[in-house]
Amino acid sequence: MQLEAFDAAYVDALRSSDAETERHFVAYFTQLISIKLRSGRRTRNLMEDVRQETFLRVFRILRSPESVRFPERLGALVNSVCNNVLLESLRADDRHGAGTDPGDIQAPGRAPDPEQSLITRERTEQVQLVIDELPARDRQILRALFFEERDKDEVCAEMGVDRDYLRVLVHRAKSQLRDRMRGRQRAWGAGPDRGRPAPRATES
Amino acid sequence: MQHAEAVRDGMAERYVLGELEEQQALEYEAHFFDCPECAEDVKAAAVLAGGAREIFHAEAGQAVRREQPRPRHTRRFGWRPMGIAAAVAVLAVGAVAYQAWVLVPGLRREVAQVHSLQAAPWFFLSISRAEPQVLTVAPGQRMVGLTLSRSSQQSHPFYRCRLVDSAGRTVETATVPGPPRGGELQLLLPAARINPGAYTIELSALDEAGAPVGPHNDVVRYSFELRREEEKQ
Repeated sequence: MQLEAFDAAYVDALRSSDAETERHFVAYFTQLISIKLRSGRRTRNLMEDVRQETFLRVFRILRSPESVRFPERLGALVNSVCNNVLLESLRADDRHGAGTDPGDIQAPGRAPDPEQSLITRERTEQVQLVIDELPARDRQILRALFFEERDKDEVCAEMGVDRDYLRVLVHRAKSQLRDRMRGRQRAWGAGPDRGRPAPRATES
Repeated sequence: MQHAEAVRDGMAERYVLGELEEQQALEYEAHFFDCPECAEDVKAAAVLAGGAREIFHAEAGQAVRREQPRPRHTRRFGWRPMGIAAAVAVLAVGAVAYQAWVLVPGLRREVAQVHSLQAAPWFFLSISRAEPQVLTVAPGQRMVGLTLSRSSQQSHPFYRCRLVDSAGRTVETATVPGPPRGGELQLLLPAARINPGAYTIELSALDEAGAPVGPHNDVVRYSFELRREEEKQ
């Protein structure tokens, strides 16, 4: 994944509905929104609603006359809007109660799934390679943490490690995964995490 | 939160492990939305967690399929005290009986009803006007068909549909594939689950990636009033 920096040119491209910039913007922040919303164990339906409403509002702000005063803080804007949308959604759910559950209807087949933008088949294969290189005990620890979702203190007691060991294990595995993902991207060039589109040449 | 602090404190790992207090998590989120390097870090951690979940889930599924049935062992009949074992057995029998005689037949009837041939009224909705259209549903009708008038000549890959009641609350929501070129969007509304009253369908066009379409991200609205006929005595 290449590092991104948002500036006035990027915001201008979004305001003028440049398709490539829009695609990049949505792809980049869809992943972050997915991570943010998934951490709260929310339903897929709610996550998709919040994601879409967030982008709707952000685009509305970007294209308003006042626009964005600090383009380099574009990420903060997206996060702030997402927080507001999420709060409103949760409050609306609380008012509804059990009787008016919005339901979890999803279109079959090609309907977009925010989490799939992050956990692609290619990335799962890379995670498999990282896991395969781990000692058996570390594999068991990752399985207990992320699949069985067991209590961490319980896992530490059973495996004879402390909480710092868990963090270091995740850090090492994550770093190896990042190296593999960067290496693959350098080898293949294009992909969902390619760098931001080049700024348009301005006519003099 | 500063970048150096986030790295020094291993925030990406702690975030993915769910070790952060709510306020810390909010602060870290505010940081990584703005910090490209930390965004990359937390994405990698999330990919690790999500990928590991899928991999171990698949392994568990394979292990279940490989499992052989256990051989029967003959046991000498022996006296057992009634106690807790008997109470658990009684409860288990009761639970199984409830499922077999009440729950499962009920679910089967419901599924059969959903899949059975059924009459469904069909209505054409125009973009919101002064008088919302009245949709009348007969007793027992579970679904209502809606054809939404086209708001533009262009068709889009997906549409986000949100059913909103008169108080502005979201009742149903779905992302649906767009109609064939030149066609109109047709929806099936689960009328059996919706109370009579005034509603609005809000329609937003999405592109292939699920992003809003158009410079103003327009929302098209179709209003209607749902009424139910009385049961005939």
